[in-house]
Amino acid sequence: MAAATHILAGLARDYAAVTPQRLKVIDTYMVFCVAVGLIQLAYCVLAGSFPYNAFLAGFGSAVACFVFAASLRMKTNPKNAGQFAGPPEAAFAEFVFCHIALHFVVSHFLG
Amino acid sequence: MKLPGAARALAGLGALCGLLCGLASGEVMAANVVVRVLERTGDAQFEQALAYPAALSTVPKVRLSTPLTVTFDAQTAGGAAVQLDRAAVSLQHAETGAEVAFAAQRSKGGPYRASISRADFRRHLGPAPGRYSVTLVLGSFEHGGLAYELGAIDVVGKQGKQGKARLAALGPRPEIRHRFADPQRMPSAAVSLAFAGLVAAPLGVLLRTWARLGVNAANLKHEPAGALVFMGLVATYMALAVAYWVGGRLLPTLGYALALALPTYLAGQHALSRRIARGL
Repeated sequence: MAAATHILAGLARDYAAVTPQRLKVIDTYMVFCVAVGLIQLAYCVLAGSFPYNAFLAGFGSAVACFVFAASLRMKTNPKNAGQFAGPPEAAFAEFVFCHIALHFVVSHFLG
Repeated sequence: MKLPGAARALAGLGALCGLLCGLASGEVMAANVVVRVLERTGDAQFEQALAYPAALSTVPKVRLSTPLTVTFDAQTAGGAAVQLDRAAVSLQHAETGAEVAFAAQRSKGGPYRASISRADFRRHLGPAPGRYSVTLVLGSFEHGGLAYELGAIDVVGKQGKQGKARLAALGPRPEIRHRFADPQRMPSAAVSLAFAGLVAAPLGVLLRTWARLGVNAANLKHEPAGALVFMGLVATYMALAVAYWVGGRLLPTLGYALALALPTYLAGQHALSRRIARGL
């Protein structure tokens, strides 16, 4: 148990020291998406899934936002510069476009 | 409306029509009438052939396991075969007067046949045992009608609810009463609102964390106008999605989205390329 705590503390320390600010912002946004999805899932489990389309829209939105953020993080990470062609601004433009499309689909599915 | 009475009225009407059509067409006759009470094996426990207007000489017993079958041919007085418009065997309880009728079907090129299935017996005759008079009711719009009293049978069964025995097998069905789905069980509004607040809570945590990380929203005022226009257009898209959710229609919404697409693309292209050029 102490070893696990030690490992986690080291991980957090290295993360804070090594990770660029931009990636931390994206990481906190991803944690936010996970939290929102989990709360919606908890509501669905406790109070029932009716209306199901609304639950799917909300939960799907959280999951999709997480995926888009993960893609943005991969493309804007300086360590992955060799793998992905194009500047981070292009990745951000894709991120924005995907979100616009996602929110139209979600608003349609909300009912 | 009970079919046997209606069938008799129809037979009478058919007869009247037949008379009006001319005496040459003749009345419909039942020929080769055979009344059988069959065993489970298919053997005839009781069988008697009848010639109109003769009736059964004895009163056979009919049980659930020994169904009654009546076969006959329909023809005119001259012997020509007739395609009937109505053919049924009517059973009327001697005491209660309850009637039930069973339609006769014609096999291809064969005689007409009316038989009481086990389900029909269980539903209509079993609950009301006793003596029934058996009548063959035939009707043809062209050749007239016939109500042929075949005789009587004894139905052996267990006394049940009289209501069911009064229903004609071919009579009107009971009225359909629609049953709507039960409303879904929903949690109380307080619970839903509490969870709505709970879902919104991580947003505050996110903004506070961003502030701690050094994200400064006040720096937005230093952004070039193009970037603000781009963000404004993206916000317009979000507002369009909300408006669609609230009450908009799909096609006009898609039209507005299409109209906003080009300005948003150009503004984004301009803003982001200037950021690249500035090396931010």
